[in-house]
Amino acid sequence: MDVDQELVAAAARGSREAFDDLIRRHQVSIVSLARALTGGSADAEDIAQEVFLRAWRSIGGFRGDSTFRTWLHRVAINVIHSHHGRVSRLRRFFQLAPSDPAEAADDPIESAADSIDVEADVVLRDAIDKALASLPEELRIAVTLRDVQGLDYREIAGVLDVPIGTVESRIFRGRQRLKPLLEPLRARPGRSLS
Amino acid sequence: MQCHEVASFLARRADDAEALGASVRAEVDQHVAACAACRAELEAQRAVAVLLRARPADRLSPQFAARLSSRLDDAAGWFGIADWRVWTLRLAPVAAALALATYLGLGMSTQTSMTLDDWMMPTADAATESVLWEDVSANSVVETMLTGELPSTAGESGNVR
Repeated sequence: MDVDQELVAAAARGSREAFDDLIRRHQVSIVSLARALTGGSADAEDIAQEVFLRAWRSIGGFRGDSTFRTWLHRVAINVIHSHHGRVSRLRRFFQLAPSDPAEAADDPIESAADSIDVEADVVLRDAIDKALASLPEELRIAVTLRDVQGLDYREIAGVLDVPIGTVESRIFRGRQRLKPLLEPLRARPGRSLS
Repeated sequence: MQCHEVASFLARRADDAEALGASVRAEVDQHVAACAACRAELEAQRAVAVLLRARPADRLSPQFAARLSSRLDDAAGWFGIADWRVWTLRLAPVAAALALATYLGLGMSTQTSMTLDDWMMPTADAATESVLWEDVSANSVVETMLTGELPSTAGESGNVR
């Protein structure tokens, strides 16, 4: 049984306490999703807040066809997609250089891996986020939902509203592209990631 | 199974938690056991997945909860007021009353308003009427403009249309 179910029902009736509990249960996951899908952007927390605001405004319309987690991820993907569009338009307007590491750097891992001893967790996370950012959006989202967020294939299909076969294909291709990008991290001494 | 058929299952096969159906899994395993390229691809899929799952969890800033709580409070107030769905529902009876009042008001004004024929009825004094509605001609208009006086009658002006 979905452990969020009772909280969702109470929140839908207007209970802020119940919704606060839902936030506590999912906030780290949603911030991680935002950060991973925006290349480690400093806006990740703002995006996550927008996700919860939208969820609060529309939780009364949540029909329970999927789990709350799936529904919340769908909201998050929409907010992140809007964020990408807004940033792209601003960059075009001001004619700024792209901050997307896939466009800005030839090797998204190199700079992070060089300073891996400074703070291993932060650097590893940053390197992974930058590698993910180099993927085309549809591959990036599928791989992130699976391998960073831990959603199963059926949930991902629900979030993206595509068949499971499409999810499998996107994850397969996304991991294929990530392999050479993540190779420096795997080869790093002292790490046993494979 | 051929390599291109197996490829579509390799991502899920690499995820131990994601069991393929027993028969598909057996076919995939049989192919992978005999095909070095697919075996290498399966290992690569697995290695990337393991690495991504080792991504350290994010830490939230200390202000995150307080800021979000404040924004949610605002949402309950101002955003609630601005929510068009709420207004639509609450204003539905008012809109219905306004529509009814407008309908009734139009009906009454239709009954009391003047018709086009009423408007076309001459109501001016006789001199104006003669200029406007009877023996109006180019000459009488010019004469009126030059003298500043209206012609007394159409017959006196003797104008011909």
